[in-house]
Amino acid sequence: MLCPVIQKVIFSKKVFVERRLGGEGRFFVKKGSKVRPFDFVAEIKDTVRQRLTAGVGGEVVKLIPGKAVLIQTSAVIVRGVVGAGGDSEGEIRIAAAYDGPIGLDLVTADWAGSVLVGGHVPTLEVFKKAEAVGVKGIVCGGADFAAFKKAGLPTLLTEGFGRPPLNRKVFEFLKNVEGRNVFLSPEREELLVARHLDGEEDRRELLEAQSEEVTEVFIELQKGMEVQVFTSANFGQMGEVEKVVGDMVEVGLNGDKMSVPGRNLGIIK
Amino acid sequence: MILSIDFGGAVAKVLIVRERDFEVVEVPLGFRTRPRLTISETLRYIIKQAVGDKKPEAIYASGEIASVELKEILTKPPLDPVEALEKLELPIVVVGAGIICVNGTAVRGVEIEDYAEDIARWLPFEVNISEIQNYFANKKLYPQIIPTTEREIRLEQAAARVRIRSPITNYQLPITNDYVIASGGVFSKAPTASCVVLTLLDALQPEGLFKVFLDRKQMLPALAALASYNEEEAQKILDQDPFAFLGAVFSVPEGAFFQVDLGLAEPQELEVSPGELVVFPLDTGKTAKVRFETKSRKGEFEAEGGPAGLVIDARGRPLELPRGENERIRVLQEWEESICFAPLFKK
Repeated sequence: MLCPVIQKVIFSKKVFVERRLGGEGRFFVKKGSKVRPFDFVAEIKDTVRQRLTAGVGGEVVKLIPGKAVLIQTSAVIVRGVVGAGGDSEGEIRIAAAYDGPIGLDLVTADWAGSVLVGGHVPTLEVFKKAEAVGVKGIVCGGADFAAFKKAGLPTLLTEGFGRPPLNRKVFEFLKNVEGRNVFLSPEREELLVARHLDGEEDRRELLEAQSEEVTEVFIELQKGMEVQVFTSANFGQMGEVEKVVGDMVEVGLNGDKMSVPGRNLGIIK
Repeated sequence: MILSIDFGGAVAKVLIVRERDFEVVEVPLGFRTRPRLTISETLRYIIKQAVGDKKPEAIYASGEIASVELKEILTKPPLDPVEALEKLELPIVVVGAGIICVNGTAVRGVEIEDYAEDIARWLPFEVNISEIQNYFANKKLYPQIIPTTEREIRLEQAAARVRIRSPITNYQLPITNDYVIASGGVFSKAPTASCVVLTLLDALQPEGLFKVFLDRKQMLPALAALASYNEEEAQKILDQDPFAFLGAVFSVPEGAFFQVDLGLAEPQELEVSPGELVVFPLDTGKTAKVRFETKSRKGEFEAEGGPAGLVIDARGRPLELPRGENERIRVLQEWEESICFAPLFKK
């Protein structure tokens, strides 16, 4: 039985990060300059002395006068399934467990400037409060459709609507890089965690968390494979294939066995 | 061998036309997650899954697809499924959730998450609106998933009523023909024939005698694409009566007295009160002469038997659901119990 492949965390050697000036300014770097995250790359003119940092470690590949500095880096990309709001960046912070709600009480001014991570957003009020206290974005497993549609805050849902848990691989990775500056692109349904140092340690940190990008879209389902289940009661949960019987698949899930149509499974890579 | 591919939904339907026969192969198209195939890769994948490495003489397709690369794969340009269905000129065709075709006018279905409150009114249980919205929004992200619980199947059937009814009301499409061909997963995978008939009755609200056919193989959109490019082959398939007859429905605006003559010694009598939905178990292969009398008129018709029997609908038009929650749920349960020989779902 062929099943769709789902890949959420990917390491990419060649990623371009655009640092936008949003108007006239002067550059502090040249094409080919090596930069680190807190290096200033440009100064924006006609504003209260505003300097733009590189945000990532890498090499400047293009300077677009009046517009942006383009930096090539390597990064881990976290793929979501649906996003809302504009591009944003901030320090990634774990606000709740992978299967827990980012509750209203958890959202405080301490999170200003952060991109919050958690299981799900339970209400629209959470989005509103987060925006009001200066949160830069949210990455979570799910949120209610109506609340998500009304949310103005940049948000990336990694699994879908409702209260599915955040994919454990994604959660573990984000926990390991907590505190780093990340780039949220809801329109591209991606979160980008870039290298910030030249050092091998940093490279290893990112490499350990990722899987190689797969090109196959469908692969044969086999015993022992890790799958994501998309039936209502267990929507978004991960389990292991125990047996394939015709169109049905026996999946070990949270210590139990359940029979799921093969069409309701995705193979986790 | 000719292939006609319906590329419009979550599962591609490939109509394989051979010299002596035809078949329909379903190819699930996966999720909206990544990695995902490009349009031309998807088309190649569908063909490979349907016929392996065999080389068809011609490949046609319908779906919202346009790509210059498709020229290398398809014999003719891909067709818009709405236009293709309109060309088929069948009286009423209901194509599942995506497209509704009534008397030659095809329209796309509504964005169902926006109609959650309307869907909730067709459910015989209390439901949170967010459950409906989340369910259908997730189906967009993971199109190939299928309902697995009674609750999900009921959600799908309630949504089908709204999807079909909304364009009929919005575009004022008249239901003037005397039969319907129901196509699409919500019908072909329904638990019973009665489920299909009840869903269509609630959605189309026909008057007089109305016959219900089911496109069990969900081949209509692919057949429409074939008909656009090779009418002769499409006609050969239509000549083989590919649609299953489920049963006849007779709708009266008021209470009526019926005599059903099965050719036995005595005709059987049936009294239907205003607001009632009644089924006469007329089996497949049997025919009955039915005489009816209401306060205002008399008449007769001939009815063919099918798995859903002969359904008499005296609920009036337009069909009104009670406003109160408890009363509405009671009425929906009553209608369902009236029309089904057996429970729709095992308890």
